[in-house]
Amino acid sequence: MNIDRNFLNINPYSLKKKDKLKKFLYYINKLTVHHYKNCEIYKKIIKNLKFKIRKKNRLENFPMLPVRIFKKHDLQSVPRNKVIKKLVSSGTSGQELSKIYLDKENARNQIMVLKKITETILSNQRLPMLIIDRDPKILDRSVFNAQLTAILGFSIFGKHYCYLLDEEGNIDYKKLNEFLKKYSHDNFFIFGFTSLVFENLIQKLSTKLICSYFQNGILLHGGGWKKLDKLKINNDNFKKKLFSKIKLKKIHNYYGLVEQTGSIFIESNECGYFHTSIYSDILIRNNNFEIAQKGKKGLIQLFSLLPTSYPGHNILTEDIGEIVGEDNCKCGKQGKYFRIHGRAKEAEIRGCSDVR
Amino acid sequence: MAEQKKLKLEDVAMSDKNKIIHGLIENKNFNIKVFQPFGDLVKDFINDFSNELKKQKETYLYPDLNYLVMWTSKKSVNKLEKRFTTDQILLGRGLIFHICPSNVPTNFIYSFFFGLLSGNSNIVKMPSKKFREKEIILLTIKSLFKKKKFSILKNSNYFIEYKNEIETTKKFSSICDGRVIWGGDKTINEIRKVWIPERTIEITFSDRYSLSIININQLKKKKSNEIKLLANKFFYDGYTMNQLACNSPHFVFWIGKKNTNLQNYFWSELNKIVEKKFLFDEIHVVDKYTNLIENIINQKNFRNLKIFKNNLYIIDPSSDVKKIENFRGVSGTFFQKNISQINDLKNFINKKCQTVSYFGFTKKQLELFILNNNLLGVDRLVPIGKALGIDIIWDGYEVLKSLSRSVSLD
Repeated sequence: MNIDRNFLNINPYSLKKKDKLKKFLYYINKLTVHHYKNCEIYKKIIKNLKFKIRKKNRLENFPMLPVRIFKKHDLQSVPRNKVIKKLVSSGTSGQELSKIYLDKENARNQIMVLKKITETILSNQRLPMLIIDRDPKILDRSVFNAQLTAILGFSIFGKHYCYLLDEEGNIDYKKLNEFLKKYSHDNFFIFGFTSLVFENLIQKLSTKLICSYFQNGILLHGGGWKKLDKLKINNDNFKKKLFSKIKLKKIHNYYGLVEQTGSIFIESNECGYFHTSIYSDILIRNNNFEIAQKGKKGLIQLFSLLPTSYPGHNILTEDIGEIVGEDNCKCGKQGKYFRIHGRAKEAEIRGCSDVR
Repeated sequence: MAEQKKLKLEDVAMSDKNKIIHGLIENKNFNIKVFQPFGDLVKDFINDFSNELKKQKETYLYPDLNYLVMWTSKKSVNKLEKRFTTDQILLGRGLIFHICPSNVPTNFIYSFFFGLLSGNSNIVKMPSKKFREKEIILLTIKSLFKKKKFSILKNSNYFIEYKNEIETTKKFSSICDGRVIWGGDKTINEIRKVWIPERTIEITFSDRYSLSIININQLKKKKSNEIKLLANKFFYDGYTMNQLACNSPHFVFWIGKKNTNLQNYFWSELNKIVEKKFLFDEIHVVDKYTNLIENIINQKNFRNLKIFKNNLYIIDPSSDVKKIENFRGVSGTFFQKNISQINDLKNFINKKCQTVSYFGFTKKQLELFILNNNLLGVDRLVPIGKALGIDIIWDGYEVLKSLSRSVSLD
């Protein structure tokens, strides 16, 4: 199935609640029917949850899939021979990984929407790009995971790529200084995983060894705060440290699922909140799955209009968040704006089926 | 005290300090000692344990610790001893190596008491996870080991924590006279590959499946508050361990003439109790919903889901359902089926089946069911509400007798 090109061409933060919902519901309904018809497993789930496909469903009534099932099952809504790419979530060893199957159209839509969203913080011109990672060419290609996917995905917004880390994972000052000398007088794009940005730009980087500060840099980082939580580093002091150390002030955290690659949520520099675009939506649910009111914490449910080759358009995450408001953010973006409060705490799994 | 064998602890426990995270007692005077089952010193120790544990400030907060206080009380141990009576001459076998599950906070201490009551010295591998219950138990043991009268026990028992380093398991296995393994099938198979001496015995407590049976004809006669009481007991069995213990019920068989109203009444009463008494964390809810969707995907017999908010999910599998051991719920997800008489239950029982918790049947009826149906499974029948208890007869073993040595005297 296809998304209307006209819809894809609208500014991603331009629609008010009423206008957005009308179109959004139309597509979510269409996607639900599409996956129902084309994915046996999805059909079985929908049927057993007794969901009736009809035109007048409210957004919160569409059945959501728990994010973990993408780890255990191969969910596809296109024939196998149409799959051109398999995305795998990043994860620590030992964990099961999500497997996402993309056909040509789904892959193309992901890039298109990612571009529309990212352009709002970068320019529509490619910028010189500093990547806080090793060159994926020297990484093991068999790990085509979310990390690599993200680097490659976001590299379409850059040029003159410079990888901060050498093969051993140490900062390559020679390359960095060459890059800064050439490009730091004008806007440049910095991309990396939150934990790597912290480890390298905040902890390891020696400002004595660099020829310029990063005041013209625009940092986009994501991948979660799990490692930094342990060090008691939150978004606020992360930003403060980056500014005081290398004068970087345009810092955007992004949030998204590998299951919904493309329709990511970017933290706005002006307000510090994540924003839904016209391609995505968010609901917060309490422990009875009722919709939590604005300002109340709960489990995050995410919608995306992009997944067409696999049924990932409506997912219950394991993250906790809170909606702050809708259509009235001081940064001027329309849509919902929200905060993330990290992962639902890992429960003590009690049982007798495991010895560790 | 019939046998004494010097064991150099450094040969086993202390050889690689880095790998052993924590031993309760680093004791160079370790001696393997054996006793008669239910020896006075051991009974005294367990009795003091019960009293000390009860005194700990936080004990009352944990239902499993309260149960442990009760289980170790003088009265309860005396009852166990009465059931144990034998005209044989029995002694402990020597050193028992207990490998306990990582994710149940109190299991290790029961395994230890089984070893102790049967007259043995013990090395207990505790769960590596941080459980407050575990810490409270260890504090209690530590304080008892300080008492002079228990120095023999202090020098013959050893608590240890380590990740799954096979080398450590090998060392303990090579010197034990009995090995007790609690765990999933995979873990048990892995540990079983580790050599034990020729005379060493092994008991395994593997992954099991449990269910409940309710006699409709009896329930029908009960007043609404009695039904509420039963729902409350069922709540305790089904929710306390988030349905993750081997003895937590997953399937309910309604026996007798189908009575949809009555059955639904029972579930709605249960729902009310859950609403009032059970606090779901976000992760519980996610686990529960994920488990539900997994069941929808994996069970071809999945039908008729009833959702009582997130408190309670009820599923009626289709009537041709046969193998039930893979129907597993989490945090309050139950499968139900109607059968006309108790003997029909035999079609659903296999080796995996451990506990059947019951309502509305006499012991005689249950005994006849067990004896007359050539069953390979069901090791335990208890009234609903007692499913999560633990007993010296477990998984089909008379555990204490299995861990002791009989001497014949003519």
